[in-house]
Amino acid sequence: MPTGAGIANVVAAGFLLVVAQSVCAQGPGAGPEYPSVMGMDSRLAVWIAAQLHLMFAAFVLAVPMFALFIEYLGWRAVKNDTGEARRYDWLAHEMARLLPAAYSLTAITGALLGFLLFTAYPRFMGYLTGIFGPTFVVYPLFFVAETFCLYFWYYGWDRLQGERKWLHLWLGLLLNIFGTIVMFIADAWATFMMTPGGVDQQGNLVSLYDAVWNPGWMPLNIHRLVANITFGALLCSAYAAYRFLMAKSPQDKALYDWMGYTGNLIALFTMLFLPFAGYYFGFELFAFSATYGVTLMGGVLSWLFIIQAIVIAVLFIGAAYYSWLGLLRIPGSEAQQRWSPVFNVALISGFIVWATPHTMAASIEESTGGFHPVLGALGVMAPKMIAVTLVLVVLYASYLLYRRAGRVPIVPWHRIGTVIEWSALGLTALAITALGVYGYFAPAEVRIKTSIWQIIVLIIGIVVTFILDQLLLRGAKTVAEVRWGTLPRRGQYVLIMLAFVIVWLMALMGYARSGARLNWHVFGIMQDTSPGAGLPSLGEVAVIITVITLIFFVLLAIAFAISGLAKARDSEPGGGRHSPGAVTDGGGA
Amino acid sequence: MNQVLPYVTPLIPAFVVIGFFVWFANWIPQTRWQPPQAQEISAAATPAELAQVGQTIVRQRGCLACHTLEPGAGVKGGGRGPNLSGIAARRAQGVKGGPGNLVEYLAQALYEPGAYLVEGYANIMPPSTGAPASLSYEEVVAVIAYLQSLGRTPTVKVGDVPKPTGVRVAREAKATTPEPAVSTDPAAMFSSFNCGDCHSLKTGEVKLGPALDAPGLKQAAAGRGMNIEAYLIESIVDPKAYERKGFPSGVMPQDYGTRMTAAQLDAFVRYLAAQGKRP
Repeated sequence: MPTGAGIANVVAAGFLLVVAQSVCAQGPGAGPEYPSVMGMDSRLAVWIAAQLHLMFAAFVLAVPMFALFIEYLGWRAVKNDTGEARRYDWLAHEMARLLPAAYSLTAITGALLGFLLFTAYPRFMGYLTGIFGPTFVVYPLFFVAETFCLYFWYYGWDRLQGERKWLHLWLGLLLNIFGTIVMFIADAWATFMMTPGGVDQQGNLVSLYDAVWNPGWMPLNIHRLVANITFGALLCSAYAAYRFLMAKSPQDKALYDWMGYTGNLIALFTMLFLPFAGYYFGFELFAFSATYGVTLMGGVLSWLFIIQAIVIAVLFIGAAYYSWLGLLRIPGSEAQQRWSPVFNVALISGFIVWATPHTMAASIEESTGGFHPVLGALGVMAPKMIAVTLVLVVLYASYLLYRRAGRVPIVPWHRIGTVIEWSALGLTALAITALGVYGYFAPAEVRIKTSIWQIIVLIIGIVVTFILDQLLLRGAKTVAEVRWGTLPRRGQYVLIMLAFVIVWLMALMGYARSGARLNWHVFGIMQDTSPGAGLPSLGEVAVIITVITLIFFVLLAIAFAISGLAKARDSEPGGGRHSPGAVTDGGGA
Repeated sequence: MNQVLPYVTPLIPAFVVIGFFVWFANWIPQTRWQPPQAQEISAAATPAELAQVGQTIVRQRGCLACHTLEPGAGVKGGGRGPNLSGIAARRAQGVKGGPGNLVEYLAQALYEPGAYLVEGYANIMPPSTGAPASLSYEEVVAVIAYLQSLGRTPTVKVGDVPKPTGVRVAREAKATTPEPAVSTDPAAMFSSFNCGDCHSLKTGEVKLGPALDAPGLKQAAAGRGMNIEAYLIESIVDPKAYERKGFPSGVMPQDYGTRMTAAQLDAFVRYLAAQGKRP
């Protein structure tokens, strides 16, 4: 299987290279404009193939990032605590074990997408190839390099242990670098379609550099990097949840409980940055053409963002709920548990504001140019920034409480220190609110600056209180160990649900990004004049992305099953070369 | 079955949540968006015909996603862009330091929206000949004719407006499905817009609003310093701008300017003006 998958990946890359070259040779004007592909709805077929490819690509790009980081932690810990080092190494390997089969699916869906695009949209792809020809040649080369690194990294895990571990880490680093380059190249194509640069008004190439580094490129790179990690971490958590539910021994339950917790923690951490990455992308789109802002937030896609807010609310509240459930693993954490309902109300209130639209137009013809008389006050950016930033403060406060559970500070100044710590957090929330209120009444250019200051205040608040918390908990007495493996089953159900939600959300936002271009292949440069150039209703969109989500999980389940078949006896959690031993409190973060 | 159950049970919460998303997405208003259709515009179209097409374009191409049509609100409505209601009257002399007449001002505003910004508004409008509106030259003329009708009688025809220089016209207008016909019979409109509920055409018959008879219209137009046609347009499009003494304030609906097409407005004003000009 591994060899076959590797060959499949290289063949897929070769296919893309050949197709790209052949289209370059054809020139942009050749062939019919929108030929039918075996009688199917071309746009729907491309939509499904593109979304599936993006999801698998996101997974295989993200997992090596945090798996490598965890492996690095294990390597650093080996001198002090071999047990901890083995646990980290097991965790990193367990996460990486999902990669080879998923990587093959990435290549297969990528090849399918390339085939569909070049067949159904030859003129558009011819134009894109004319602009990005050199990158179409370089892309498969980096893809092949990534493939080799992945397989050497994964299958060399046992050989490159001990003194050769540094070589393994370097391989992992190279894998991540090549993977990131591959994503950045693909992002250039995708963002050029939204915010074209480096071309004149007729669409002729002026500068390849500017076409690649177009206004939307770096914001999307950052947004995808962060979102991919959230995505990969939640899928790993769901895998761990399944393994937890199927595990027979307490030791296996403990290990997969810890793996699920770690995945959720990584997801929660990256989720803190996602709204800002999204806003950054949105700002750049708006700066390129205010039409995007209107289409997305006040026009044909405005209702989509209400759905998005609800989905994200489920994601944040679900992840927070799982964390609060985690307190049940810690005896004597009742003091922390009583805050959960308060936090829940705060989160729900925040998301109600976030979900409030400023207009309720169902179509562009319904637009009246103004804001809704009642909802408009909450529907604009300033209150939304207050709400979403305070939601993040609440999530962070949950994390601080979790750190306290089962631990008693022993530093002599712990009482005053705790008061200062929570006052600082309260002050942070107050400053964020004050800045938001000021921004509400200020002109737009000032409002954008206040939102940046809100983020800066949040980061300062987090850094200051985290350092203080570290000092407060220095040498803290552990009165209760974390009892890994004792999390209620509903906690595992939540992790699985979160994986479905993040996949659905990713498909929804993929549609939003693509739909925002309306009837343009390349915004302002090349119109989509095909019969499918319109936008379906949001109800139809929801059905299609649900189908995509289900296909993705079926394929992923097959991939996991295949990786399970290939699993050697020695990689079982209970014994063998990757045996982690028992997980203790030290496994927590 | 018992072997499958442990694998399926953990999926139930996920399916419930995703099912809720799908239900919600189908519960909210459902609209399929279609790309705007190019308008068929004859080179010989009259200003009124152009204005009628222009009104359709303004609605379909997303202009009202930012601009408002709020009678009586002046330039500052409640939108992201300036209020268009009454723009023809406001900008009859163009703008200071810019184009000196309405048509040139509107042409500049459509071709190069950033050239002159109304105070308090950001430079966010894309040129109307580019994405997403992608107006052809003839469509630009039609929009200008419609904007002229918001406070004045449209006069512009194809050829009166300069073609854009240095700005790419996205595509040529082409034949398309004609818009459904709307009645321009003034007598039918008087009934369908419920004008008769408050106004009478009979001399001296006063209902809730003033009679639309010759003496009354002449007197009111003179008092406003306008000819009868201009006075009628203002009264229909922006009734709050001038209210006659002795009648209740704010009763007249504010939205006739948006409910009537330009052709309807033109026909209706001619009809009423003819009443007012009767000896």
